[in-house]
Amino acid sequence: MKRKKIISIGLISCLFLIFALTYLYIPSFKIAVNRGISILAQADIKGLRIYLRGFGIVAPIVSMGLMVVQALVSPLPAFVITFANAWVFGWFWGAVYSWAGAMIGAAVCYGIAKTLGRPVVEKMVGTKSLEMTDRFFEQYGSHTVLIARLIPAVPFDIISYAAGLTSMGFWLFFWATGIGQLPATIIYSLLGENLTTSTKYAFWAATGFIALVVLSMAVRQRVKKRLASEVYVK
Amino acid sequence: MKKTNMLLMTIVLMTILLTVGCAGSGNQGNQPEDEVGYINDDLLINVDWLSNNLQKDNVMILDARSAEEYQAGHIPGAINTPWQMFAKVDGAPGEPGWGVLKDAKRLSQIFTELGINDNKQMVVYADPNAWGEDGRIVWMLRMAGLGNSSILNGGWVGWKNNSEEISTETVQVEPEEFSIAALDKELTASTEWILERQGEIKIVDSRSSKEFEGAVDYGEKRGGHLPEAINIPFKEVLRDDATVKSQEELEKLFAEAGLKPEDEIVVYCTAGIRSAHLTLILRMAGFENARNYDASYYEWAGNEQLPLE
Repeated sequence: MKRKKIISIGLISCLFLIFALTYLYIPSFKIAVNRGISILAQADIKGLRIYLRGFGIVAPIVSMGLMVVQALVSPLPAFVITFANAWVFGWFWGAVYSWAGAMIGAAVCYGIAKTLGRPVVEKMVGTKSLEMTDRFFEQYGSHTVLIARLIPAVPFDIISYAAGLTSMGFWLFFWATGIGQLPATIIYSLLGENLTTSTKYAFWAATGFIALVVLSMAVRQRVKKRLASEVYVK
Repeated sequence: MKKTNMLLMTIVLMTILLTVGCAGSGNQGNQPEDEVGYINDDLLINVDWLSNNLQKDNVMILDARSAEEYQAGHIPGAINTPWQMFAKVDGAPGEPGWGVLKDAKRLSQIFTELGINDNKQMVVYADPNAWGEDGRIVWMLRMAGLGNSSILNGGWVGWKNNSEEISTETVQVEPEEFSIAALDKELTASTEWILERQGEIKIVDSRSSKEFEGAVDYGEKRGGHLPEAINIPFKEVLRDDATVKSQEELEKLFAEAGLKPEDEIVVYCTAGIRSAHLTLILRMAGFENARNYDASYYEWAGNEQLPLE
């Protein structure tokens, strides 16, 4: 166990070091990363479309890379990437890249939490939001990740970090994330492909979002009931 | 056992995604059209034209990106001219007059040092993922009376993606005497100019909708936008391949925003860069009374007396 942990810490530091050195010594890489972050910070969907198109055939890799960066730099919005992906690659491939990028991002966050532990995570996301997710985990147990992914309003990355601090196994976490984020990813991608500068599809955005919230509420109720009945039986 | 199954499943799925995915990507469509059909069609020059005319003595290429980007690779023969070179940038953003053009005398000296004059065709490019610096430089050249100035359509992205030659050599500048007769005030607006005409003019905010709604990410003194401003983020004039939209598409965009060709229009952003770009595109599409407020939001928000929404 201890050896495994040392290897993981080594791996994370290595990846971080490679990124840092590339960033410092290759100016065009640094410029591209900074541009990407500044576009994301402005929630500039149009800008991100132009940015991604500019990378040609490696655009899917850049998009997934941005998704990971977005997971680590907490206030950056992921939906901007999902919308832009859908526009640039079509809704289907857009959804695939968004989903895959988010999976890598989630795995990285989980890995950081698992190896570096609570104090580091607290510094990254703040004590308050972590306490909130703690309660969530207490309430729903191993279903937490799946439920949290279904509700787009629950912060994605904080759940990943929090899961890494619990005893939840990686593969259960991974597939709960994968299945849980599917509906929202597909809806956002369908919206993204049809997004124009006029707000013609804003109506559909709202409808889709509400439907998703209602659906997740229903799931939530059922899980709650089941948990309650289990407790009662015992 | 169960664990290895899961691992296997993940690896197989990811491999399928990546291999099929890379083959299926690369969305085609919105091919750039020729740079014709605009009401004023002297603003844009395409990558092919520049590639064929690169070596000509009467073609001068200006790289409006930062020195760092220029050094990492630029169009052969281009000299580096970031906008700050020609602007008053002493003091801090938000102080009155920060970021506005230097006066005609000082500009004449800089143009002389760089060899910028009206005997040459000036082609300016920037990175479309930045702030429209190409537009800012061409706006300035036209203010100085140099109508022989154009934007490279698609910019640095267009040049790179067309697999054109890239150079890292620093180009020697050759000074040539030039004197600006007078700056063309029709292309610009000051805070006073706007205040005198409030209610009669259309005010266009070329920043992102997030900034329009109040975000202060660049050291602005207050958040929001000028009263009755219309938000047209400057990148909306571009297609996803970074070339400028057609006359028809632009007319539609501007009409939906509530602009008419005969309107007096003043465009602003944070420091007059993005707005310079949009001002030129408006004029190209026939909105010929468009002006760039180059002191822009920094100055307006820095003055507590002025109203914001």
